[in-house]
Amino acid sequence: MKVSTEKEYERIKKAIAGDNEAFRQLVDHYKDHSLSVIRSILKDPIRSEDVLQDAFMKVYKNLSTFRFDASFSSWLYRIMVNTSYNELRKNKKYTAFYIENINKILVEQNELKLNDQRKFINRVLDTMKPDEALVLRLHYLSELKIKEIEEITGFKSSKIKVDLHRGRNNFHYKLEKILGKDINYLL
Amino acid sequence: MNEEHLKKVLQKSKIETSKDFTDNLMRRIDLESQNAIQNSIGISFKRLLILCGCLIVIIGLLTFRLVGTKMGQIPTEGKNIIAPSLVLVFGIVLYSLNNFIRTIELSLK
Repeated sequence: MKVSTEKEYERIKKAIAGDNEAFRQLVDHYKDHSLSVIRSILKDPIRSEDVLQDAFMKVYKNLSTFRFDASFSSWLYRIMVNTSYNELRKNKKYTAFYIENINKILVEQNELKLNDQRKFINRVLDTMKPDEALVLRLHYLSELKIKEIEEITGFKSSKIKVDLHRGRNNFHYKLEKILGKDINYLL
Repeated sequence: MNEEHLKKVLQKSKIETSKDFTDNLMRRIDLESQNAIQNSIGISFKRLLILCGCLIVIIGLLTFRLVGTKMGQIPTEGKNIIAPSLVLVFGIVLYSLNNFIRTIELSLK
């Protein structure tokens, strides 16, 4: 996941100078992790990709404001997180409805075999609170430290620690509830 | 579930974008860049129109004041200020015309 800082800074400088190929490389590098971050908050797979595109447009337009003494990934994820929370505020009703739907799907899939682990894990994460799912993904998937998560989300470190603790418990509880003994297939 | 297990499980939650995501994004960027250029051309076109209008008024006033009401008789002798002023005015007119044509050429591209 991590690229050397010099190489990345070089790409950013090229992108600022108008080299779209350099920007494409940045997008290709960060798009999947960014989508996971957005999905943690919005829960909706289709809308998440649209928001990801909007967020990358913001990145493109504001790339020249990036300060090279900071971490680019933190700067980029902050844009992803802010864009997602703004979108969430706009479509709160829609998200709540979607979560109800997921619960039904999960109950139906309880009888199914674990042929698609990723789908199951993501569906469990989709039933969790946005803050908890976001913090879990940033910490365990993007392998970021609490300080970095603090920079990205604007949450206090105490809140991050609480969300991580609750998130871990909820995730395990929900996964176990749905999969039962089959949870061992995931480990 | 311990930390290691949780990390292992959550590593599997990585979602992938659709295959044409980057292409669509780059297309959108190109499109918005083109729109931005067209908008800026539109703005400069308006500015040039206003500038030309102002210049015409200034030139008209200057010509009327310096040359007098009889447009057919331009006094080039006696008044040293008239000739350089006219050269300056015509220089500005030529410069704005040049910009005007360049703007139109850019908007046609």
